[in-house]
Amino acid sequence: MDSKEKVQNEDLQKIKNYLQNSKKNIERMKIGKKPRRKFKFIIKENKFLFTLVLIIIVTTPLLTIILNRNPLATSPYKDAITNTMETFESNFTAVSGLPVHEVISENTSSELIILSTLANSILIESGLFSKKDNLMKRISFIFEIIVDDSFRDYNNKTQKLPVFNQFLGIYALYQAFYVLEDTAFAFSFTNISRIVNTMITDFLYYSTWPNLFAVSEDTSTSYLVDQALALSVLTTHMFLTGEQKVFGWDLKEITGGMLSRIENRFYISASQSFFHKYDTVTHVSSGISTSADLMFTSLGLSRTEKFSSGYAFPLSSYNLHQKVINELIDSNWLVHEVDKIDDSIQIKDQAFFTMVSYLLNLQNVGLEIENSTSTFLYSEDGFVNSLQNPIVTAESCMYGLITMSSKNWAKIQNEREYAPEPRPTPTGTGTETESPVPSASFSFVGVISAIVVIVALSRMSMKYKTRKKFGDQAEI
Amino acid sequence: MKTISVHSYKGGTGKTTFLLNLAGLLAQEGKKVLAMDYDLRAPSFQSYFSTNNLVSLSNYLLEDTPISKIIFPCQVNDEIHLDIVFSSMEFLQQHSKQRDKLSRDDSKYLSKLFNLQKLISKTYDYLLIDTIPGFFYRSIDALMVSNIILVVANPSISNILGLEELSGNIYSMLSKETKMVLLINKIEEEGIQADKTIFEENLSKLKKIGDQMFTHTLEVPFFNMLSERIYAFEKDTNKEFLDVITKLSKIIRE
Repeated sequence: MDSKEKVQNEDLQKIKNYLQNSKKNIERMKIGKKPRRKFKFIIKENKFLFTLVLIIIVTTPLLTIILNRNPLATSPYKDAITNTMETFESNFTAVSGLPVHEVISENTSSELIILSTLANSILIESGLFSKKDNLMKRISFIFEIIVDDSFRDYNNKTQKLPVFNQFLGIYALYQAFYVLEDTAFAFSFTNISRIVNTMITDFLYYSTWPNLFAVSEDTSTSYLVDQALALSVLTTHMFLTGEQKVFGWDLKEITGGMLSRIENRFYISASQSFFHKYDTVTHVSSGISTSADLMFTSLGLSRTEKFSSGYAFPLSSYNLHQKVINELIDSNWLVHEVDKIDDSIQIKDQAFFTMVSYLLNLQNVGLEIENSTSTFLYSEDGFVNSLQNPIVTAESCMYGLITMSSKNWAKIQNEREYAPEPRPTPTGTGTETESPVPSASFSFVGVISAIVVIVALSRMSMKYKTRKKFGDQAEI
Repeated sequence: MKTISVHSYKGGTGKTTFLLNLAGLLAQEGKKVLAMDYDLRAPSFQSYFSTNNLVSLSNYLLEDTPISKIIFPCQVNDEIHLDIVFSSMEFLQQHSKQRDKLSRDDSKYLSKLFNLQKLISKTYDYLLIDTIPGFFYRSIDALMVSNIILVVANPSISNILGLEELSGNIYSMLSKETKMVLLINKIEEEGIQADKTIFEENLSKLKKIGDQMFTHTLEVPFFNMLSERIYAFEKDTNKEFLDVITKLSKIIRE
């Protein structure tokens, strides 16, 4: 059989197939059904719709990836974040993200590890940096070194960190828990609860003055900032786990007691001001509260205001936040340590105040601080430590990134803390990272899908009208 | 309503002439007849009627033009009414993409033909469809919706081989209820021009196929004036030819 005959036979077979199908179609039409058509013809006739659907199918995952991984176009601080990360990647990290260059006199420390974990987690959650995998690897690698039943000193593992860093560490663990896809035990809620238990056992209950956290196990000094951060972390722990008790400790009772002690030992009601520290042996309150004291107290109060702790503090979180703005923040929205004219402008305070403002849902304040930080504390390479000593370090970079990420991240954190259902049980498994960005892509897909549905319906409607018209006019 | 398709293996067999003369005869007898030019590749109804209409069957098939817009009355006198659906070569020449659509194995057009048939079934007694000769999807559509199929063939080798192909592959697959009529045309013309022995052999073969595969076989003698005319409508008519058509109309009515 030559090729011509072969083609002729194939064509004949097609005709015969068509005839067979036509017989079936005639039977279908006789009982009022539509004939079966080849799919390719339906596609050809509805090219526009199919193209649109195809575009949506193809672009939806792409858009989700793009919007998730590289949404920097929506951030006014795109360059600041990108440059800072580049500096960070090239100067401070191989895998660990810790300082590796001699030019910057910065030692690896537990504080830096905690800060790195917090900053990287927040950055991932904010969706403002595309190399999520790098950040997660860094978090996983470095953190387990310093976590036991509590946070230990990097260079001397028998030494526990001061109470502030313990609670900051717990807070960093929460964030890591939500961003790590395969959560190790160190980042599990079980372990977090264990550390909270150690804090209460070693730093609160056995301290010489119950219901206040001492700076360390061996000292009698309690700082306001430590109490404030502890308040915030313990309440957050309740919200996230949905559990009021940790290893038998009633967190509501503890936080209520702490509020009472803070009022008694740190608060000066006449001037609505605070002491900086309190000695649990001599019972002497002293020192002028710093911006860190007040902003963390404001944060702690804001968390306790979400539930009935059985104790009403005489000053609201909002009023205290306003007090910080009035007394410690200058016209450039720079945060001073003790008053508006001191020289201490630190990236650390800028970062924490931005974070606190967004957590208190004070968006405008957050934006102003964010803006002033990028204006005054950002150089071409990254964020600097302070105005007085403007050097770029790993620490300053991370504080800068916390500042830039707070807006997106705080929204997620607040939603978690308001969750009506208990958060994931402490099994040690991770949950999927939430981000404000997927919802944006979801909305986009929603809009496109709606357009497709409308177009499809209108086309169907047109066809129906045509058919109706055709039917009417066919009466001869 | 009866639907009759006229088909052939090759063009130039007199397919259209038979169809329109049959339509004319039936119309003259008072039947309501619609003749449709479904020979989309080489439409020729325009040769029999003076018309300059712009709307054709292609408009209905491709653009959802209402059926009422594509039917044109051919009023010979007060008593004879014949309705026509034209196809337009110009339309298909100007719209090459549309022409391509019509040549596909798309059941959409079968559906359109079926719907047309359904919609006019109460208005007409006969629907006569002139089809594309040979193996084409649109011809299959016409054959599928027909009660009677008239196949016109000449006693030439190519016609015989083609008819065998058509019978074996297409006609045999149609419904058993479909009445198949073979019209052997231009016998004498072939007889004059061809070798007498070969002609006789061919004629014999055609008749054999007719006996085996067709319900009826009609032999049509050669006519000098088998041109593009409808004899039923003419005063000076071709009686011999009309006799053949009359025989045909009787078969159709059975």
